[in-house]
Amino acid sequence: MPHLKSIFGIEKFFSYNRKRNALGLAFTFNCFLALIADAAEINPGKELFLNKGCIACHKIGKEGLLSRGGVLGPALDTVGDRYTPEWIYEWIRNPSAVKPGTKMPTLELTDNERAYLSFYLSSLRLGKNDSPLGNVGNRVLNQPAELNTHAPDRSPESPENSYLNLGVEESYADVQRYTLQDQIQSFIPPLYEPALTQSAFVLPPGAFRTSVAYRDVATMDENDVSGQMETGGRFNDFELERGFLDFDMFVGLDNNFTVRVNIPVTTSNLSANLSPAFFDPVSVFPTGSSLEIGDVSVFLKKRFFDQGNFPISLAGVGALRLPTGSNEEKFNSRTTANIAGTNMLLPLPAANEAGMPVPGTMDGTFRRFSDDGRLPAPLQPGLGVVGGSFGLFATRQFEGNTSFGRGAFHTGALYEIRPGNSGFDPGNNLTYFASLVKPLWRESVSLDLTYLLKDQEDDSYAGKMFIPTGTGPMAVNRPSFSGGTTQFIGTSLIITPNPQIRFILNGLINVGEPRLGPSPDYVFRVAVQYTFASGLYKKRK
Amino acid sequence: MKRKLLLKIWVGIAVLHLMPVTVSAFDYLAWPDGRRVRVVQTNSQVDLTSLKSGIVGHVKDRRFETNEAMFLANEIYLSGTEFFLRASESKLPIAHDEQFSFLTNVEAYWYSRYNLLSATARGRVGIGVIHGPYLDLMAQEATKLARFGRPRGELNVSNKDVMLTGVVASFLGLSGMPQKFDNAVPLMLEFKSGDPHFVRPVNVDIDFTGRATYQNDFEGLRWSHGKMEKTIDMGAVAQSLQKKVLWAKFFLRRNHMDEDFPGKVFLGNNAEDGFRGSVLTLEAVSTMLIVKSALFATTPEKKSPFSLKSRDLVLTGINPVEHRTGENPQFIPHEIRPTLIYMSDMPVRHYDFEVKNSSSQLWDQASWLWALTEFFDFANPRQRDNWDRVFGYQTPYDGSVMEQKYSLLAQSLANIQLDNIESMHLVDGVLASSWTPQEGVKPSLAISDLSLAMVALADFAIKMDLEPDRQERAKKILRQQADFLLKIANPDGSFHHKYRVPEGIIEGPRDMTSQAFAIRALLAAYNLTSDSRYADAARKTSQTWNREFWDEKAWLYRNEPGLANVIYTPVDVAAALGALREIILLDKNMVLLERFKRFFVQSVDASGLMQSEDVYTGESLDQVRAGNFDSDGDGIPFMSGGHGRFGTDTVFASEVEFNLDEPWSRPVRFEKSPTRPTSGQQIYLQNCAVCHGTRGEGNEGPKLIDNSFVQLTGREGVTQTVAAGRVGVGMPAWGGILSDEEIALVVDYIRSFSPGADREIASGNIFK
Repeated sequence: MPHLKSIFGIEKFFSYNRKRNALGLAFTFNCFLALIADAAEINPGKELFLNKGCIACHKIGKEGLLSRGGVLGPALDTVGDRYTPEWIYEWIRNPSAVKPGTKMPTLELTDNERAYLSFYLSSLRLGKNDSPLGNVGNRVLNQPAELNTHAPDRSPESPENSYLNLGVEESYADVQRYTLQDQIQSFIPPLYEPALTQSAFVLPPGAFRTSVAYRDVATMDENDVSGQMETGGRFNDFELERGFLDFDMFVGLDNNFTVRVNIPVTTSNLSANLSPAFFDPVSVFPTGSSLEIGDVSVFLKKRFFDQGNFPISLAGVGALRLPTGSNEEKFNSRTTANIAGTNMLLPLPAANEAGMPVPGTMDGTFRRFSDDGRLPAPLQPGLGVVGGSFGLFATRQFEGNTSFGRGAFHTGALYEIRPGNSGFDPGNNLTYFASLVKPLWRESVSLDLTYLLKDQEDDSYAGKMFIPTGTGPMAVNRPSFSGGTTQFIGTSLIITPNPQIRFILNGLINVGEPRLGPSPDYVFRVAVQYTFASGLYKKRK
Repeated sequence: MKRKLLLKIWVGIAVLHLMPVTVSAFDYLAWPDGRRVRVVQTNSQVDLTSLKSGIVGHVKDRRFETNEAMFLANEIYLSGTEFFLRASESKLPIAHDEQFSFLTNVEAYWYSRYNLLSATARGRVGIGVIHGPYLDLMAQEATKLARFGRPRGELNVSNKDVMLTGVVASFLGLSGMPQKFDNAVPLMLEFKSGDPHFVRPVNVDIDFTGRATYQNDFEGLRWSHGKMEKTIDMGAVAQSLQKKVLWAKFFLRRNHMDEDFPGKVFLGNNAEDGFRGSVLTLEAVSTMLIVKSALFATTPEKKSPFSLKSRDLVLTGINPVEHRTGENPQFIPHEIRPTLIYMSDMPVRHYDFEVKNSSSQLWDQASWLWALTEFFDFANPRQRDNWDRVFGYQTPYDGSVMEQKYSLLAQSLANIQLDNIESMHLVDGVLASSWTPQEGVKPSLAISDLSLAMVALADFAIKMDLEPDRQERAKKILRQQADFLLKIANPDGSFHHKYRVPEGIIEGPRDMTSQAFAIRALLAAYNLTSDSRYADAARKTSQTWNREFWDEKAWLYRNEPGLANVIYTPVDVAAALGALREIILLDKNMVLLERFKRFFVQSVDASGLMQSEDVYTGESLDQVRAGNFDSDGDGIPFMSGGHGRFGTDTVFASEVEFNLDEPWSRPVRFEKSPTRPTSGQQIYLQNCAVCHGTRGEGNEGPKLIDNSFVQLTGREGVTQTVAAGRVGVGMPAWGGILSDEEIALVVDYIRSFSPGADREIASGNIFK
């Protein structure tokens, strides 16, 4: 309240001044200056009294610091009753001029300092409360704390004491958690979150995050599928293009839960040149494509331990995969073939139990995976049945004080249950990952090094397929299309201009091809995430 | 390589011997515009060889146990400058005793301060104030203000980081500090223990401020988060609180001016002290607020059927003013388990709290009573002192550090502590150590718990002047306990570790620590009641203690008479130092003062208890850079040269050991003949320099060079100040300790720092 103080002081001064002469005017002006110039300064008069030597000869009061002053000069307890500030001002300025022969020395003080001192001294009056400094009329002249010698207001109803009810009606720890959403900047560690894989981090309660990611997979050719038709033929030519678009939504709930909803959109384009059973004169050209929303998954992640209490952070996840995507995408209805140099419609009939062609099915449908000509399971957008997954993730953050600097290491495994449906069994999936995230530049850029290992059970397809030519039986059990272990290493750049937005660029290189099935040599991925940090969570009543 | 290092050491030693008395390169910090402010100064080591018996201990456990170490830090603070001031007040003949002055004003002072700094600001051994309620309340206030502005996130609840920034900035302005300390995390709730080994090299390079980097940026001084025991021991929190309050009081006991800021009065002994004192006040208020708001244990009214955890007690917040002790006690439990969220280099955050150990321990409750009473005394609006300036009614707009209203918080919480001790720990008028919600009070009492409780009760009875009724009650309980001590004392005045109450049946061994605690307790009762029976009992205990436990050769107290292995925890050392201090002051016992000095050097320095030190107790950074980590030769290395790869922080170890059966040789000593100094300079250097600087440049005391007070008041003014002291701001009254001639000599010497003084005398302007 320095402004009010100074205004009050000036007003006081003018009331003094009405009765006074020109000297008083000059004095008032100085005081005015002093008050304006140093309105924010603390307790200047008393300080000057202590520091400029007054206390060596004078004392004030019966107790406290000032009462221990000297006795050479008179005690100044009630000097304000006897002298006006103007008089004191003049006296301090030149004691000998006011009272020749006095012992009081001329102190080297500036005009401002003299003004403060006289102000202060004139406030020392015999007040009603018998307190040498407690004169309320001169409150402006003193440090507020000095004047308030009463006990603090004990009433909890007093607005000043509302803090006393903090945590009484509701748990204070809860209240603090509710407000976390607003402290998201100091709470989510965007720099430490892995770019590709999972982590033991959860979102703070109330936070809502959206993410869009596009994955571009390298075109896969015949080298990527070598060996996958050992019994049934070989690909002379193979081209598979795939693209993945993922929409994700995350919501942070209380008690260390994060819910995630994943909506994938997949595109696949397949064209191949197949020589069934090594009979080169015959080539089959199956083509097919799909573009569809896949199976929507709902993940529930629970953090069991945080590194604050435990050597690592540990979180578990359980997910339900809903059959929103189709598993009935088919090859193009007419598969062309080249037989001995002539393009023609290839009759690829279905085979019965005895391995004989079924009459009436010579319609050109590519029946490699099913009698109705469906694409292989890995290229289907969905499972056609409810699936699920569960996993365990661990995170270890590095303190900024180790020689590595700050960063985080994430590892974990996710087991995907993909049950079979209508003759297709895509096989269960186990993914291991390890990822090291290292902030590179301030709070804005970090680098992620990732290792991914995906172990897939061989997929299987029911029924037999007809082989038009070859040395063996005319029909065989449908062999698996994909399966085995794929390994990637990748690096990612995470750019977070502010903690709510993340841009992620990933590059992955295939370092271990699976035994069966296509796998891309490299993958590029780009993702954008935005976190809405407040306004979602309603405070519990 | 080795030869090079050796050469460096030799050169270093040679340089050291050639150097003048003190090289204080860190006296000032500069503002960006070039103006300078004073900060704390380094000190040079005084020769303590004559106080060393020669036996050297070894550290058994290097962990920092917060409760025990902070208790020692508190007692050693009271045995430091406070002891020196009390000794001069009692007119003990301590003049020219450079060793006593150094031990109390430098070693005890700084060891206590080191433990404060390492554990509450640098090591991150706990939850920081950034997550505390004080900043929540501030954020709410700011939210109201933000309605004037455009709508932003602050409209909901302002960001606490922003609030802390504002608070720190106001502290900087009040104290005159040019900059904050980087990567400091002031704590409100300390963890139970931590491993004080650094995990990164200490950066001793000079930074842009002219000081070593580690002094301004604490990033390299953190401890390993993984090696902390992340339980909250409420006794440890209280001991830390007591420590924060004691130091805040010291730092803010007077104000200072800096030459480059004419007319400006800043808070604190100097800029650094003022800033640290303000932060400590913030820490203390945050601690009290979080405990009040969330950490009181009580029986739940209704147990949730869905609760997976079957805890017997839940944590709750209370309104301490409206609190009444009833059937269902609400009290501070022994241990709390926080659920923490860890964000690497960010301060660890609590997510939730739960009761870990639901018992009520007398030690904890007494620690809280002690600390809260001290805070109330700090903030007491009725006492007129410099701390009135710390507490205001319009913080921070009126230039205060903290709101005056929090004195009510301390007062009402202290009342609850007293009420709870009365209702939960008394068995037929005698205190008992432990209470559990299942079985109630256990009829057993350790002398250590009793002693701390009596010290706290005595403090309460003296300082809680707004509560006359409770003061009387505290006095009554204290008397009962002192009478109980008289009743159970052995014929030779000694005590045992533990007793069954209220009968007083012996339950533990007759160990050295209990004697010391009993002396401290009896003298606390004597100082309050002036009942000479208590003083006599304390004298008797002291005689037995000093006769039977003191080893004349090793200058140590044996744990039990005849035991060759001497094992000390910080609590043992604290108890012994406290008992010695009080008995010395009681009887002006100079024999025990000599013993105090020896025991201090043996138990704290030679034992390895103080694991490392900073530049303020004798180490030189130039020497450290040259590879010499113990340039002052006191056996305590500079912190980066301590145990472990990167050194150990400047904190107390939790256990040290001496083997008195092993042979040892006494160091060669040059006994100085006790001649009294004759020149003013000698008197000054031996008695005044420790606070005012060797050249009058000022340190914890004001500077004397060009001091306007010296200039203006002349010989009489200075003589009066030296003889009568300045009570309350740390200047002892030297009259009666120094002779009149010595005072005259030293006054002349002091006046020679301020050339103007003589000129003005010559001109006859003063006191004509």
